[in-house]
Amino acid sequence: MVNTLKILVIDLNTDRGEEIVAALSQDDTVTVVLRRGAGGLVRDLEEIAPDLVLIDMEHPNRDTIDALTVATAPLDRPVAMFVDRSGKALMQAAVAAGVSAYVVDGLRAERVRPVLDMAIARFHEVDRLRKELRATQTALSERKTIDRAKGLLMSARGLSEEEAYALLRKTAMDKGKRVSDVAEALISAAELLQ
Amino acid sequence: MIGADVSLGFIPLTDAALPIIALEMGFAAEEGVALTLVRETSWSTIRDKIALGVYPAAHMLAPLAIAMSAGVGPMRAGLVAPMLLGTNGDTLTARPDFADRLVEHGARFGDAMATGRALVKCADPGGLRVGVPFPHSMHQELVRLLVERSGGDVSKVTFLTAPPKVLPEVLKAGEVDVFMVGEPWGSVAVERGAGEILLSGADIWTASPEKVLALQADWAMAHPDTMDALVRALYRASMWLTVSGNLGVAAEILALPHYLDASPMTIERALLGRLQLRHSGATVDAPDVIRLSGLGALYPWQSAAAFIAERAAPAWGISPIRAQAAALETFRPDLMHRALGPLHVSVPMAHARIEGRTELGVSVPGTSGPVRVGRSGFFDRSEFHPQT
Repeated sequence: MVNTLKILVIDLNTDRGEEIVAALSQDDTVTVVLRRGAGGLVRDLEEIAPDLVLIDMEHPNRDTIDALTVATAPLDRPVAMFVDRSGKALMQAAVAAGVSAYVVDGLRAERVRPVLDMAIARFHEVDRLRKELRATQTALSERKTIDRAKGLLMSARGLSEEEAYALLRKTAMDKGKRVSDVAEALISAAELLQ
Repeated sequence: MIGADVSLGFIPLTDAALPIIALEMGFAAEEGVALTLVRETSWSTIRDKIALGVYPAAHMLAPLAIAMSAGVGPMRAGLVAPMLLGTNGDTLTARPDFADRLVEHGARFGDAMATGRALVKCADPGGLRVGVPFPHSMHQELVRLLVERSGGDVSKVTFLTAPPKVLPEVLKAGEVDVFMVGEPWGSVAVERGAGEILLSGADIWTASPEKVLALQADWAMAHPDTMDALVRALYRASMWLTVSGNLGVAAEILALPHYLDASPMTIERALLGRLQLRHSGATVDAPDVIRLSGLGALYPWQSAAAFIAERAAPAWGISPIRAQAAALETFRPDLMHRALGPLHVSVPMAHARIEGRTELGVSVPGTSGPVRVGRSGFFDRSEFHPQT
């Protein structure tokens, strides 16, 4: 009989936390609890008595967890960060992804590794999606800026839409700037002149 | 000049000013350092990232740097601190109803002995509950000093760790009676009506080495020129802050959303040596509440490090000798001397002093004439003699 591994996941990002829980729960030797961790952390740690805690490094309460586990005098259940020699590369990967892990002393690396590997992958995935979303939003707002600048040029100088865009693009090329930057400068200037 | 890249982790606090000013006012660039600042939300993240080599430099609690060098905690790493990033900077804040009781029992701003005795008298039988941002900190050390030397029992004090921005909520929820935190977060709690400032940390010890420039020792030894340039850039930022007309600009810069994300007026008040103690109350003088400007605020006295080590060794579970050795390996006035050499400024000749001997005055002999360093005095008039 394999001992059950109790994992506490603390993540403000509920979607990501739930995905991690879903992935970990496929292993029936693992029980997982998810907390957003805004309050009641002391009680959670006592009641759940996890073997392994996964926490978002950006979590505002990380120092509270850290103080309860490793930073101060040892508790009844010694908890360490997963940074023995074999774990350093893995820990670096975890830190780069933005997740940190606290493990009960003596928990074997073979048990921790797959859990941490999975968490790292989820964190990277969420990060990638967030970056994609930001890129899309930036593109959208640039598009709106350029449209406004085109409109200004069309009414001020009686240009067609194509001519207005061509003028913006030529100016950008001449000045070594991006079209959206030129458009933004034009809008600011127009507002000042109103 | 070719820029050497340096990334530095910091926590949003007023005493992150030197790296921020060094970057924003161009001192880092002038010294040939391409500085990147990385904002973090927790000290444990700074600890982990400097230990794992994510960045070589950080704004760090002085006791944390010594603890890491001593191998205390989960992340051990040899660190050196060629300078402080500031002296003092903490305030002790109480829930308004508790503050009223303390005042009835004699608590008075600026008088740590009277306030300490009131705290001891008014604490619940279960003991005083104190919020601090991190265990290895001057915050915790100053509270222990205050209680112990006001006749209280430190073993009865319960410390609860919570991030600075969260502490006012923890106070409001009644989970702690008081909290000690770096500016501007005590003043922010006052503005929200969540707390009243009882004391500034400087009322307990006038020369508390609050934060250091922590560098990975291996990195520092491999890149001496870059380290020296960084120290010079930070020193020049501190000299810029000696001009009182610059403090408003400094507060505006620190207030930016990607730095402290707080009100510039709140930040500026402490920079000007003033504090508002209670909501819609008057401001009072607190000249030493935070010292960021000039060499005296930045010199890493080995005696101050030794004091921290002696006090913390039992809690760290290591021998006083090992703690002392780590303190002296970490606080490195010799590195500050070397770095500032080209600037021809006078730097204290001594690496240690008797902490608490205020009559030694504000000036000490320096490499080229007397240096103003400011007094080191404890509220109970005790002295700490470092072993040499």
